[in-house]
Amino acid sequence: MSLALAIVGTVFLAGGVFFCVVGGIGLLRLPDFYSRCHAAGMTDSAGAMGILVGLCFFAEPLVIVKLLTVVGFIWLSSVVSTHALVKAAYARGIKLENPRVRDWTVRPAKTAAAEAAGDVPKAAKVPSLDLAAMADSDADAGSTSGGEQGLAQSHGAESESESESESESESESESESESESESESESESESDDSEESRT
Amino acid sequence: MTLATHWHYWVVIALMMTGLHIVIARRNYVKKLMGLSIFQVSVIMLYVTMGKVAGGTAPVYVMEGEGHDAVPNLDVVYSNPVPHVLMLTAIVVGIATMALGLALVVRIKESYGTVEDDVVIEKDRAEEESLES
Amino acid sequence: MTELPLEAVLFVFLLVVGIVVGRLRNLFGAAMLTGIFSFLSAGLFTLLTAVDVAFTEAAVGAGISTVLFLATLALTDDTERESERSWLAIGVVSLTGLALFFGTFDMPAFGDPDAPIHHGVGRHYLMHSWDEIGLPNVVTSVLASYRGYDTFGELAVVFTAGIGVLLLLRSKAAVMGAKAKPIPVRSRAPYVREMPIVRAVAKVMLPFILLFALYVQAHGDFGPGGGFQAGVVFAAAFILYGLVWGPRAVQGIAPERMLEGGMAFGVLLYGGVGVAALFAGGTFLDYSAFTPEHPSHGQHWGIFLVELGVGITVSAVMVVIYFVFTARPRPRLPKRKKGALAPPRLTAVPELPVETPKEGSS
Repeated sequence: MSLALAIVGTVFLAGGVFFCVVGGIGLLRLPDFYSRCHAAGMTDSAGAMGILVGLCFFAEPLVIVKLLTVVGFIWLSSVVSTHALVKAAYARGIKLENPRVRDWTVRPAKTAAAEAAGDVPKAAKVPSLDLAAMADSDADAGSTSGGEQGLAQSHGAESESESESESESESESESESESESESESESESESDDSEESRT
Repeated sequence: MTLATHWHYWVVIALMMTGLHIVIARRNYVKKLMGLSIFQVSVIMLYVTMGKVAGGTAPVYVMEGEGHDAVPNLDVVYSNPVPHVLMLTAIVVGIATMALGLALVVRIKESYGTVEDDVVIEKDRAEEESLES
Repeated sequence: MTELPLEAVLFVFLLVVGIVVGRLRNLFGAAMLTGIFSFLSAGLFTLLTAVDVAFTEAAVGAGISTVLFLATLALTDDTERESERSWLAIGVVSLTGLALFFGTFDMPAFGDPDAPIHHGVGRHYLMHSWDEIGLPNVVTSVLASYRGYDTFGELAVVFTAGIGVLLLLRSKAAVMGAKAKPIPVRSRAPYVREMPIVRAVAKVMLPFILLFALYVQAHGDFGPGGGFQAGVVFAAAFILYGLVWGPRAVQGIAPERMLEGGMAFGVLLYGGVGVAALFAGGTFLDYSAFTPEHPSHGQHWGIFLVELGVGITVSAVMVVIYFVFTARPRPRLPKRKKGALAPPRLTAVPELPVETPKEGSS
């Protein structure tokens, strides 16, 4: 009986170690940030789970409970942190490496612009998506608006609801006057604030 | 021979020197503080390696007996608790003083616009000269 | 001997991480690596049987200090300038290293039970603390009772550092304090608001973290744990709350007044227990004086209260430090260029960065 338990436990341990090693290799070899996140996340979830569950077969009852609790918390926390990390990276504008993989979350620019402006001017033909520049301007705006925190707080609550819906579509592209972009960035200062502290 | 018995100290010294090098060679204040924290951890590690007894277990008594009659087994080899106590408090004090250092860095950034050592010194010097002239 | 390969691997990792921290110019990466460095060293402390130290290091080094570094980087620059190689620094470091290296030859072998360090008070604590204090965790006995003065001093240092950070970073326009406006419910950080998974999981985990902190606080007498660790874990729960719902949300449940009071109250509680021992007829921090007929009961009570004081001060200081760092307005940089792209916002999937024609391109 104990031999059988030991064998099962060893199988779990070996599986866990396998996933850890594969995760490590993947972290080094995979091409871009997102697939690397997948590898790292696998180390956390599958690898750690395998090892901890494997250890259960060699442990006393109380320790088993503790180990399973640890598994539960790792599954909660590490998975979610990977999720948050990837989303933050995406918001920051880190690109997918593989050109054959289409980024389905970015709408084709033609339709987006058409929806936003109603009709597309011929001259404004679709520039390639310059995510790096967007990330730069993100940092810029964050620092500009940082000073007006107190101000933003006072009217942030009201103006947020509009800016929430607007800022995604046209107001961003058509912010021609300085004042408009200023007020926009003010209302966003809170979001930037917490965004920074998260990253 | 000494390698087998002393290598812990040597690795700890290497770690310590890594931290020290960051502190004195890097110009960036935040980087300096990171070096300081590496240095601090290696000093803590030096103390803890000294407190270790071969074959010893953690200095929490292995109890024998049940409930109120339990008595510690004093024949078990325990590690020395004194360095542990000293280092435990040192870690928390370390983070508190680290926060103080980081607060200073933030203030320096606000008044000088930079956190690079040499730029700060340059600006100081320029100001002094302008005061003298 | 089974630890040997593990120790060797961890030490190699530590060395590599330490060197990379020195060479990395991206300070965000370096900050994460210092967290990893702390976590690896916590593993090593466990192997070296210093479980209490490992616990503290894991909570402080990997948790709080990383958050502090990141908060600082948000207020300063996130990349380091290129600095020239300084041969003087390398010379100084290698000389110091060599001197220390030769110094080790006079040290006792690693793990030698007859080393001088094991002859002094350490042996006494191990042999007699059960009769004198009556706690299974010798580290707690030494920390709170035998070396209570030390710990009191350390706590005072933590308190002072907290005050120092407050003085340095609390600006007049700070969001905190009596003048702070009540938090509008809708002003939670939109960034996290659009991450329902993170919010839900944080909500699930928070009570467990708080419960664990209380457990660590109370269980420090019997296993690894105690006021320092519990304080840090408790603060970590608040910091998590702040990261997910924004710092202002935390001020709703833990106003700054209360935290400042907590900082002082913990130290006062510690000192007060000592003074109470004086009134009970003993010396300062001599808990046995509380119950002369049964000294170890008095010790238990004294240690419990003192650890409580430590926990309160440490957690309050950590939360306050986190607050002042995040509440600090960021330094102004040149304004956004006219007509430049607004920052991309994170939203539900279909609305993500829609490309917009730039002014220059038309």
